[in-house]
Amino acid sequence: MKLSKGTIGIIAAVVIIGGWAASAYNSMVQVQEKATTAWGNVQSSYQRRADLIPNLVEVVKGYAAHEKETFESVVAARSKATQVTLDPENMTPEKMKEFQQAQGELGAALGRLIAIQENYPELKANENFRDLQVQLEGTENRINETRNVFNKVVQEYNIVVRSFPKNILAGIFGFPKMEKFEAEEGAEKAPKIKF
Amino acid sequence: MTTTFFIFLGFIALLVGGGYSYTRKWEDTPSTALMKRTDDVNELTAKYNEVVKILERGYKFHKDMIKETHSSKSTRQLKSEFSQQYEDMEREYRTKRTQLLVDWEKSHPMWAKSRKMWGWIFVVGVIGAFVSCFHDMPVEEEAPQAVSSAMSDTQEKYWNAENIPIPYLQDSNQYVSNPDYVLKQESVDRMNIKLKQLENELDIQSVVIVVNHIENDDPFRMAQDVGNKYGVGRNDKGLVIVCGYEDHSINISPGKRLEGDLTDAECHRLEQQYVVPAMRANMPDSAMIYLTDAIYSLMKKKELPQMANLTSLSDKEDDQFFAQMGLYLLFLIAWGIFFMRLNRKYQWMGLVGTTALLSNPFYTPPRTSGGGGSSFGGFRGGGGGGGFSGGSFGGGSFGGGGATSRW
Repeated sequence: MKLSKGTIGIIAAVVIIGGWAASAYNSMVQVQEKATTAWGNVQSSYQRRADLIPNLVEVVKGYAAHEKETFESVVAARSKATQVTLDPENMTPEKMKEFQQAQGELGAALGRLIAIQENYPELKANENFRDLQVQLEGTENRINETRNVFNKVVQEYNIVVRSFPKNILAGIFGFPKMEKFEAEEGAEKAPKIKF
Repeated sequence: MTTTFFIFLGFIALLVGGGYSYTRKWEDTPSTALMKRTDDVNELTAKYNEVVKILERGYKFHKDMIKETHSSKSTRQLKSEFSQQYEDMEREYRTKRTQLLVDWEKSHPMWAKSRKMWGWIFVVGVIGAFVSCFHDMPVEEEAPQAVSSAMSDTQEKYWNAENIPIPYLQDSNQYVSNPDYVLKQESVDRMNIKLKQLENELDIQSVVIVVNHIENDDPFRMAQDVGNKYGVGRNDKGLVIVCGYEDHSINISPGKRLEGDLTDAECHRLEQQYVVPAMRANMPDSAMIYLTDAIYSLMKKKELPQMANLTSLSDKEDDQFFAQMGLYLLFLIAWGIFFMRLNRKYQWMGLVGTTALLSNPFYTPPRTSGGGGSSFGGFRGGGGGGGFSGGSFGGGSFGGGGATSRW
């Protein structure tokens, strides 16, 4: 078959563009995977906090059984938070906001639960309670760390996906922009542990 | 420490041996001749004491004369006249006495030389004892502060993960970063041994940082940043400990894989049990040593070291100190006894028991005595290790686990 210069030119162009597209696609996949993993870490750190709560509630109940409202709000907030899930590949700003809000409410409820110790010195002195508080502080630290890592990774991803010319590919192949965590008002501070 | 003592003893043996070989060259001065020396001095003194008595009688006589003749002279005047006479006489006596001794030494030159030599040997021995005793004194806790207050600008430095020196990179045996010299070198060395064991036996790479002030008073942040920046730990089994001594904070941060073995609660318990009590007593060395030992033991699944056993660490130091003092005290006593026996020959103190000239009965001069204070300071500078190969970190990561305590 005789190939005219034009045909060769077009084939070459297609090959080159194809090659570039392939590598670009792969790089986007890589960054996205990183972001998804980072999101997974965030999830597990939130989950860790959620897992602590039943124990915590039990211990506090042992000393302050009358504080029903506080217990109930914590338990309710917990179940709400575990129900709000987020798929990192289908993130919208609204969904992210919803997620953050649910977790934030849980954090606030936890804060109130811990604060009960001020009125119950026996609770304050209880070793289990102290251990749980230490674990809680650790969980809050982990949450913060994973969120920071997530934000960094998402930034990387977003830069890749939104820069020209990869953004064209991103649009074609479905690599949406991801949302970062925003600082929440107030509830992001871990309940201070003072012995 | 005891090696210094033995070196010192060796030195003493040399001195004494040298002294004896020198004195063997001449014949001993017979003790009768030595007695003559004392007798001669006593004789002279007795003679002059007679003069003093004569003066006293003369004074009394003149005093009565004044009363009887109603002379214009006052008693005080008379007294000062006689006092003057006494002083002149005393001067004469002293000159004669010294002359007597000098003549005696001239006629016995070897004796005089040996006496001088032994005298010096005695002095050198005593000085040497003090020098080598205090040369080995364990350094007090205040000494490092004396250093850091001299460089006050470094003391105020606020450290973070960017500016903290990490010695492991230059020397894979150095796990402890101590740029403010909060810890003594001995403590650092001891910790490094344990941390080396931690790495070799349990594959836990660690970094321990002890400084005075941490940026934003956030040791957790610093630990995480150091851990992630340098990638401390192989297979995410790293450990970073950051202590702000003057901030009164400590953080233990295990790597991601280590969190299961060194849980948040465990970290907190270790801090509360081992670090906080010692820090409250201003003993950062003990605190960090206890902690390092405890972490090692915990990870090795052994029994946690009992605090009682570890408090004896400071007692041990004191015991060593007293044992050392005891050794040198014994030496000084033996040295003294040895020279007591020599004294029979050389009479350094031979003239102490002799008659003394009667003091001036006409006037007591005011006596002032000054005392000097002496202070001993123990100070030992730490030496740096050189010639070791640098270590590399295993690329571990940190996820925010661990615990922080404050005191």
